[in-house]
Amino acid sequence: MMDMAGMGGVAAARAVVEVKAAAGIMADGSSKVETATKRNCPSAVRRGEVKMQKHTMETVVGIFLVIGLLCIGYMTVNLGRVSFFSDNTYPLSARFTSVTGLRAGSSVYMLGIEVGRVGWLTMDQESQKAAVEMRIQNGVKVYNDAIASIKTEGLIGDMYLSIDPGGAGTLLQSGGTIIETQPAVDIGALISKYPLGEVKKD
Amino acid sequence: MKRQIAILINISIFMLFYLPASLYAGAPLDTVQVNVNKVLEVLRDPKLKAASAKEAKKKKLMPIYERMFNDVELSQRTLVKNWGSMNASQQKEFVQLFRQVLAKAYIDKILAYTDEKIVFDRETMVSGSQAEVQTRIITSSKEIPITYRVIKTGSSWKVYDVVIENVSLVLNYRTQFKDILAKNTIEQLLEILRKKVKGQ
Repeated sequence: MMDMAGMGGVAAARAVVEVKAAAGIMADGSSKVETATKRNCPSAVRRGEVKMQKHTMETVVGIFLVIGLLCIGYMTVNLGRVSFFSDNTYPLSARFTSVTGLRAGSSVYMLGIEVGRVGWLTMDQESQKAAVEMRIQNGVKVYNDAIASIKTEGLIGDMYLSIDPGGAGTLLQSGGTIIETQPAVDIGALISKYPLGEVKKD
Repeated sequence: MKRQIAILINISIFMLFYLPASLYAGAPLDTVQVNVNKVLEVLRDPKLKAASAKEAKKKKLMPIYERMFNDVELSQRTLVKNWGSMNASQQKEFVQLFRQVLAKAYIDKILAYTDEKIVFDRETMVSGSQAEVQTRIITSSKEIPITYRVIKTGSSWKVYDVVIENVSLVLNYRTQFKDILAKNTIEQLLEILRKKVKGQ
């Protein structure tokens, strides 16, 4: 058994040496590439070339890095939410009995299209309501009979604010309030309250 | 003496203006409560307990509904933009048909009432002419929150939306009518409603 362990150890060591050789690292620690150039380049020209090679490598790496950073920056601005809703928005507010799941920065959708973002959430303890301040894109019309509701993406996803714009009333100006609101429907509570299929009922 | 009168007046003014809204049950809550109690009276009437008395109960409930609800406001809020593109006679017909559609949808549930307790929790003014009255129906197994949204119509408060378990009636029908009117004209919508009412 000890022999087996010993043979295993030798085999492992040999494997490591082979892997290292493949990677260009010789037994004495120096790298294959280095060895090659040291062996074949006694002249100053070669030394110059070696230096240039090193610099070229670094320059290439540097260029790739800059391109990568530029790409990341471009994607952040375009696909991310950085400068999308900067200045051309107007504020609206709405009050809910519960805003469970909504956060500052949650999206506001109208007809399925994102038209704004939730600014901040405050609590009005007098009337026991949560006040939501949101910023809506300029040009999106919301009327005073709009209904704001909190919905989930799917059945159990992120919460977002959905506005049905209304249309039979007057246009809401900047700083207006959406009066009709519908808080999040608690699916879990409903399912436990109204079990599907009641035996007692006829 | 003068000083005491002054203090009394100050206290009265103070109380008048600074009573927190939750302690002050105003006209909206009272109006809803009166109407709901009238409905409960009809539902609890021992003379109308029999199953055959269903029609009699319906007949008694309709006038209460008419007094309690602002039909036009309700209909307008479910149609929004399309309300404006209806002429007066279409609007009138829609209000009638919608009332019957609602009656059909909810009358059975209302008639299934058996002694549940209705609690009136609070009233909140959301604007000068609109308020919300929060109530609860307490059954043997669960509590159902119902909020009545009322609007000042003339000198009284009338209901224009009922929010049951956080689901607004107006929003529910608004979404459905929007879908129907995306593919049909107003006349076709009225025809659909006519058929629905007739088919009951």
